[in-house]
Amino acid sequence: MSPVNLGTYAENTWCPGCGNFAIMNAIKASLQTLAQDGVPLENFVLVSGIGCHAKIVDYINMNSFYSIHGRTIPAAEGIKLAKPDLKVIVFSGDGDSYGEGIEHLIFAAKRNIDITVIIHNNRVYGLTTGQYTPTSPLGFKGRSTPQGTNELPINPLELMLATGATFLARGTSHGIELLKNIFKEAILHKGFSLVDVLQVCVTYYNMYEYYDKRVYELKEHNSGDYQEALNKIREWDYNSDAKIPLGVLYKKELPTFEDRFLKPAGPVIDRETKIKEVLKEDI
Amino acid sequence: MRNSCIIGGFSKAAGIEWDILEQAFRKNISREIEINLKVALRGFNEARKLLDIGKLEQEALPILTGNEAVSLGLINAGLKTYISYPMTPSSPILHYLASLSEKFSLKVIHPESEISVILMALGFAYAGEKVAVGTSGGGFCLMTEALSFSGMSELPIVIFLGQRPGPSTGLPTYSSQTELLFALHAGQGEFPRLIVAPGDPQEAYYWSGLALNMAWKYQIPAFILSDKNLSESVYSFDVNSIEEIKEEKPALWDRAGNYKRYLDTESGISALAFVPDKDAVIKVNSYEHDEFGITTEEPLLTKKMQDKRLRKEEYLKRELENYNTVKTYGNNDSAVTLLCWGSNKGVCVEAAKNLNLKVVQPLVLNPFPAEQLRKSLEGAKKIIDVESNATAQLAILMSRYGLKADAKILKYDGRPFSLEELEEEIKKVIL
Repeated sequence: MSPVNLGTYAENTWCPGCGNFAIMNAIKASLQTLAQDGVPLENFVLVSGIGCHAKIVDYINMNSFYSIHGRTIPAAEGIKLAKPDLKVIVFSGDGDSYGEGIEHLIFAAKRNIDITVIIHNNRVYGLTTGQYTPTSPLGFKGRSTPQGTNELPINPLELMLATGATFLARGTSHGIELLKNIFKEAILHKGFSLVDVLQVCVTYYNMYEYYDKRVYELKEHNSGDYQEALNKIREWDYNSDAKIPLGVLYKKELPTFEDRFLKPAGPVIDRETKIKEVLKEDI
Repeated sequence: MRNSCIIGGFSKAAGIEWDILEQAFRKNISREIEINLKVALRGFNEARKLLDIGKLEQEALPILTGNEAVSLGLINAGLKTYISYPMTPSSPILHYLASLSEKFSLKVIHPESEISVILMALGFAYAGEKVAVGTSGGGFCLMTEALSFSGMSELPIVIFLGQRPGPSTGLPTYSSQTELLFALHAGQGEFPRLIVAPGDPQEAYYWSGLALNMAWKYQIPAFILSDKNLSESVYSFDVNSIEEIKEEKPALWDRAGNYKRYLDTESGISALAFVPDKDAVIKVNSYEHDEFGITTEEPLLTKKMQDKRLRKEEYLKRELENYNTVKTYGNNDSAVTLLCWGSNKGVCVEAAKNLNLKVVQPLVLNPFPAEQLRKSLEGAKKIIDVESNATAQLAILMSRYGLKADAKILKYDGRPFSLEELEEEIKKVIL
């Protein structure tokens, strides 16, 4: 696997100007940096769900698991628990993981399992042509809600902080340099990490201008402090107008699920003899 | 205490000697043993002896449930990981394997839902670890989308499906055989699958191991279809009477050229490579895909890959012709044949013995062993289908292959057939 070219022959079908390009370019750069730092590229597995985001695995020439809608995270957990030395990176959409499969997100955070989840949060269903998602603002006029939605969005980072995630960050698809750094840090973090990327869908919810006016990069933020992280996370609720902080919001080293669950590999066992032993106990 | 009294009374009635009962109490009860024994003895002394059970002149055998036999059969064939969400009657496998996890270096996981169970399992399969999941009807409903994904992505998985009466929550702690057609048709799209249906613990041990081997050889989902009666009843278990079965290694990549996860081959089986491999990029995909695993919508490729996957079932079917996929018991010359599957085997064999009939039991239900079944049913004047469901699912299935049951004895109140009841029903049909 050459770190120089991670592309494939797959035809790219994202719309021109799609925020997914920024995420792909940033992750490719982060992966190449990590490879230069000594993590072999074959040690990564990229997992994606269903949605525009998910095509990313077709466009990167690395190990991948193109899953079904909402079901990226349990597959990633299985891969990680089978081979704990792998770096497992999940690409998922807001419809995918904040909607259809949100329970998996909550439980993965609760377990603090060492995987990295990157949410392509465009706050609209792109692949199914423009319906509201769990992070669309109140009153969002999508094709399934032409009169506007009647429900408030969730703040996914607040939810993740409450359920036990140990690395939380936010970026935008208009800030590729920041994304590269965040991705690398998230991947290297030992524990459950989630990066919420405000990725712009130019076709169904073009928020470039909106975000550009409001985002700012965190400086002098104590990401190890839960309360401070919570305050920063609550600064913008995905609904009302407010400043939108970008960067690493929360980071804490805590024991992971696999640290507790996985036992060191025992000696090779003679299963047949052991089964006979077990059967003897049942006589 | 009350139970001890009942056990004492029962033992006397059944002709079990007090010494044997005392030994059993001392082996199994740790708390308040002396008082329990006293109560049991009182029950024993108050009861009358009604039966005389003769002593078997053979080595003592272990006592096992069907579920425990499934568990050990899977371990024997190389199971490394078991993932399950609790649901009767599959939970005892979760408990049993969890209790054996250290002894056999097993990973046993109970995640948040059946959806998570099967997706996690597919993650394990992708990483090359032999894995099984267990559930019952309702939980399996949640797994069906990922079942179809397993078919498309060719990730091997063993699904233990313990049947209980539905629809919906039904009778959760009773037994049924209502999921045969469900297991056969579950999941969108068309893809190969194996369904085995053991009828006793020996068969459960053997066919569970075989299901694991075949799931990996053909990279397909394989079902172990059980029912509450088989799963949770206890039987004596003779491991030495079982035909030998060992872990089989799946076809592995020969490391020549660029690795193609979905290389189109004569049998449809593509050699496997597992992450991390410095020479291979390993891509699996729920979309239709090319040989590398990259999404495609090309018409010719779509057809080619669909044919590739379905061809595996043809090869599996051929391979299964070398196995005893249909068993017969009793009087081979009898004009009347009882047809059964799963746990009804026991009662059918006993009834057939008493009434001098023949019994035919298919152990594989997909790919359907039509030829073997046809041969086993040859000469039968009257085929009586015995099933624990209301619609005679096996009869429906075999009718697709031109095989017809002449009569049906169906029981769907959640309870097992008693011998007397079944004999009564058979007599009604014969006369």
